[in-house]
Amino acid sequence: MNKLDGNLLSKIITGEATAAEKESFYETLENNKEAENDFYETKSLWLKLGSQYQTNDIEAEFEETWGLIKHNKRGSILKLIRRSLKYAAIFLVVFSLGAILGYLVLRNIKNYPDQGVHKFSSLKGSLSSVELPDGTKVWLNAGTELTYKEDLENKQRLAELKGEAYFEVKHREDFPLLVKVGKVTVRDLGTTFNIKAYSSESVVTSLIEGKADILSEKGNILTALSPGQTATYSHKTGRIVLSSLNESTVNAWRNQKFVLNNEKLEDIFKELSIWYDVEFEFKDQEIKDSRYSLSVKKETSLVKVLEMLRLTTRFNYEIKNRVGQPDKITIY
Amino acid sequence: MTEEKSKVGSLDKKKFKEIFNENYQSLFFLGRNYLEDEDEAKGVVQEAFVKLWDIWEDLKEDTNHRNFLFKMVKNNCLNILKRRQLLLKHHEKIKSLELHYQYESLNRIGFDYLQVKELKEKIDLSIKNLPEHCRIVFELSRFEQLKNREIAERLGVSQKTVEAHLTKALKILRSDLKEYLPLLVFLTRLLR
Repeated sequence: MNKLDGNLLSKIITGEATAAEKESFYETLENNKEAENDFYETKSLWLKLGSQYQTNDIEAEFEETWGLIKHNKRGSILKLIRRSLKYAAIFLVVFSLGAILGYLVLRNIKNYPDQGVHKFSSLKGSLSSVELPDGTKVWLNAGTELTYKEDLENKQRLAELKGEAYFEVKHREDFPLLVKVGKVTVRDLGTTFNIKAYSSESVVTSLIEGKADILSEKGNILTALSPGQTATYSHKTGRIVLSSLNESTVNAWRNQKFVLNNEKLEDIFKELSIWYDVEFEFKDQEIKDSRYSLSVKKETSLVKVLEMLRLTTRFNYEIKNRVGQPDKITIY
Repeated sequence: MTEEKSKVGSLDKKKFKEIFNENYQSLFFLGRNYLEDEDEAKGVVQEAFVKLWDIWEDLKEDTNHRNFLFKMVKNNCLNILKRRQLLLKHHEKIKSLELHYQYESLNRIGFDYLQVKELKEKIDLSIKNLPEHCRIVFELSRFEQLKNREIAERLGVSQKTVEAHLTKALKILRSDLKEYLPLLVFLTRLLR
């Protein structure tokens, strides 16, 4: 085990380290818990010691922030539009941060202010998190689309989801949030929940905290979920199956892992194709239905994932690089 | 301790400005350190203050506004770091590792970050008690934000010497202030 070099630590903390030094430093942390802890403690110390001695023009900063607040205080419709603009402005700030990063971020999260309708989408192969105007936090898994609007007349917040998202809802008794997913609607009653609806066959809602109802198209309550429950709604049968929630599966994607428990190869490939932005084709139809469990970090390369799957079953694959469209992987 | 339960009645511009003046610089400092971008850090901190104004009425009686501000800034920075890490290509392993450890270190900084001011006397004393050269180098680096090279030039010593002084200063301060500054928070994780 490598010991941590004190000089190197202070160079990292003070921002003086070269690329090579960074490499050696962070690699040491990887397999030395004590060094890792040293780093955290020293960095924390450095920040706390310096935090009070800054000299910005605080008066100007205050006026700028105050300006933002004043603009926010208008009539409610104006406020909505303002807010949309504010969000656009925040994304613009991100944009200005540097051409490459800004470009990528903007490609990843698109927010179109359009008469109070907010639309967010994350591209294949990326996660994003957004905060809705009401303060609700939403994490969007890869290839997900979410629209949101506030229906002031009927006093409700309406969202529509395609893909997978994790919600931490800012609950308001008088202004419920309804998330429409295919044929069902999830109504929050003070809640943290995850909805997975990539496939056209089902909507999987997992409730982590609070209460949520699942409503039919007509608005009848199909089921009232309690924390720790997962409801799987099948579009085909129109029925709901309840099961206990597997927290590691629900949280895995936000932690950039794939965790799939005993799922069909076909479904596994569906998720892989969204993350890696590739297309899959099965030459051998039988293989589609074999089941697997899989837990890998999302930064793992696709080839490595394929190799891991191949450890437990026999299939071959061929990757075809294509210009202008996703690469195609044939399973046979 | 000044405002542990500072939420008294409604918020007006004057009170808001007090809160702003008291916390802006520390929050900006934290954001800039982690995001390495002044504009982005400013955006994050402004957003936190605007939000505080917006939700003041809804804040629970016992919610500490400082903790709220800190949490907003910390979480937004964490999200940005995570997003940056996600945007990296697979072969940029070092950058990704660096972001990972920066993320984890920020994750371990607790609410006491904004309460450090109240320990100013103690901190100042510890710095004053450092061996002289150590103290000079430390102050130039930390408070005047000079690069090691610049410090070396100014003092007419080698960069290696500057590094050694800084390392020593950090080590002494760390053990000196240990009982006053909880350096890390315990992490409660959703996973595991």
